[in-house]
Amino acid sequence: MSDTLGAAFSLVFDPHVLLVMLAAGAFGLFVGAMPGLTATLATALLVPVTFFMDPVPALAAIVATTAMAIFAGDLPGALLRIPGTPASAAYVDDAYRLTLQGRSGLALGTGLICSVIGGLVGAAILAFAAPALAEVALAFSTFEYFWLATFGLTCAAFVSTGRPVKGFVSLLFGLFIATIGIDIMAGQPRFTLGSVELMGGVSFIPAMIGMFAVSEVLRWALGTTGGRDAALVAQPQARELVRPSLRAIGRYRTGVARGSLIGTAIGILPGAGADIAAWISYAVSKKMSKTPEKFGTGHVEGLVDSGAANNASLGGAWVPALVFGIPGDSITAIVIGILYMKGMNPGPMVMINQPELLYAVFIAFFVANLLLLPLGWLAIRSFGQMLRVPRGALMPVILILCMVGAFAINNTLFGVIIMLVLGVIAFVMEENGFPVAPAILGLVLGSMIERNFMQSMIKADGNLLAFFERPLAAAIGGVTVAIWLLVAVGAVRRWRRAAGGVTG
Amino acid sequence: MKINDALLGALILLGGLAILLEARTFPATHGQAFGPDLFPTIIGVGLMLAGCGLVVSGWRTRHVTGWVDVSAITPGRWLDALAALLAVVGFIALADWMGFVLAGLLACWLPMVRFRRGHWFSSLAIALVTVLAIDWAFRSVLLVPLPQGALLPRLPW
Repeated sequence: MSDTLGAAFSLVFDPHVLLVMLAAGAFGLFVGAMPGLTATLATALLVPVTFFMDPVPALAAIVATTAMAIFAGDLPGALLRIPGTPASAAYVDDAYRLTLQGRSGLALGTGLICSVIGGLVGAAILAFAAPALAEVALAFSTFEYFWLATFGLTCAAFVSTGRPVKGFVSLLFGLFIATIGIDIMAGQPRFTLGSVELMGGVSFIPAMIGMFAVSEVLRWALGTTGGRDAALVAQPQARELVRPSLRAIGRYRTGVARGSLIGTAIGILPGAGADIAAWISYAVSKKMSKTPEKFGTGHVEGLVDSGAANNASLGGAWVPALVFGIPGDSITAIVIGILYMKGMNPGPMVMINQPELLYAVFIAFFVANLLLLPLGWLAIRSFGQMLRVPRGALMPVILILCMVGAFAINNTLFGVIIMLVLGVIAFVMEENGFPVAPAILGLVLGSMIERNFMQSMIKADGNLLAFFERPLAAAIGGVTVAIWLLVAVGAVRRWRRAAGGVTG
Repeated sequence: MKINDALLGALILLGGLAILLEARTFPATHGQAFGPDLFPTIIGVGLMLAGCGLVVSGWRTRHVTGWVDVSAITPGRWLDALAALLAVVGFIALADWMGFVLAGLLACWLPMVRFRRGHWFSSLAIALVTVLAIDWAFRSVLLVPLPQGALLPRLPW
């Protein structure tokens, strides 16, 4: 154990890795601070670069980038009322109103310090929960994996924003994309349209670059995100950055704890990421507050909760990703793609075969969140300069990086075609209220579900009841089926109420 | 770009039907209860059901939402999006012949000129630096075999 930890420390505290983290952190701050560019997009853009790195610097780069990007989303949120990433949207009104009252220092300082605390809590829970869960996961058979992946998809479809039916369509779309190619059990080509390149299936990395980055460029081009070329109205006030922020956090310290825990829990839930974590913690904070009427008027309390929650969710999302290979959010979906590329199949065996690697990820989380403090402070001071980069020049550069990234997976232009097609589809989906995260989960988990189902059925000779015969499988399966039933009952109730409303 | 749920629902319904029909043609696996058609069949049926639901809800709200709402998008913005799409399509079509450097340069420069409403020369400079940096980083350092094309000699790095 101590050997492993020592090895992990020496892996992370290598000058090369620390330099990579610093550069990745600066990149993350820039992308997060640019309205319309998200933490997931930053991860997608990192993919082609991480390919050619060793696993530890590659994973550390992603950890650093995302931790910084989620905080940096607060900058344009507080100063322009345009959240830099969707994770800052929940509390953008409070933050902006504080700026209008001349207290942007308080808004950003609180955001920064809470982000660091939330991130550290998420990292600590990851470091304790992942090894413990991995012990349990070692006893899992195909039956448990089938249910676990199905449970993940269920959460993804129903926890995501918008109407459940649209989440369901998005999920099925992802599952469909996953069936394309040669079937794993019988060797039957499915939906390949006679194309040899589709026989191998749709690789996820070009698919994700398309769905997150190309769709984002299109959204920007059509100007549907708002703030296409925003100009700074207020300079960040450095005056209140430290002491008043610390005082506010001290006053709402239960909020910090609550936000960090809720954020981590939502991160662990497959499919729900930092944005949903922030929304839910903001709502909980308002409900528990002594002064709920102040929320939305430039009150710092909600900022404390949700500022901690969105960073905490990042660490939480790695728990199912590392232990079961089931992504906790869209960022870890990309991470799983990268792990597979590096020949490390995420799952409990990584814990046994390469424990130092996992401990290195945990340490990288702590280092990244501590780095966030100085780098975030610098970002607050230099935000005005960052905003001067013309978006019109940036977007084509992003586009060309996406194309090279999609090309580099299999070294064919076919990857670029996949990227384009799925990018356009994802754009149309998001514009019309179909969340993209369930599709990504479906794509990542589709073959896992099918493989485990088919193997289970070969073992059980086609007896479906075998899925409930092992106690663990029965428990996870029971919860999953219960969620389906609850959603179905809810849908019927809503439908009857709507029908009653029309006739009455 | 808001499209009425009924239109999207109909599209999803047809997509589900197509998946279902195609899945019917997959042969059963000998000696197994479930074959390669099982999952596509479930997906196809699920999409058809959800599509039906969307058609119904979209039809109910058609008077409120209309069929397709693109009022928020100005003609200039359409051209911006078209420029982005054409850059990718053009790159796919031309990269093998022109090589990465030339095709990438065009795919970066032309949309940039469109997005920035002019600035031909500074955009060319940014695009050139970007493409050369990518060519160096990806082709020479990361050893990605970017398309060489027939028009330009290999760059010295």
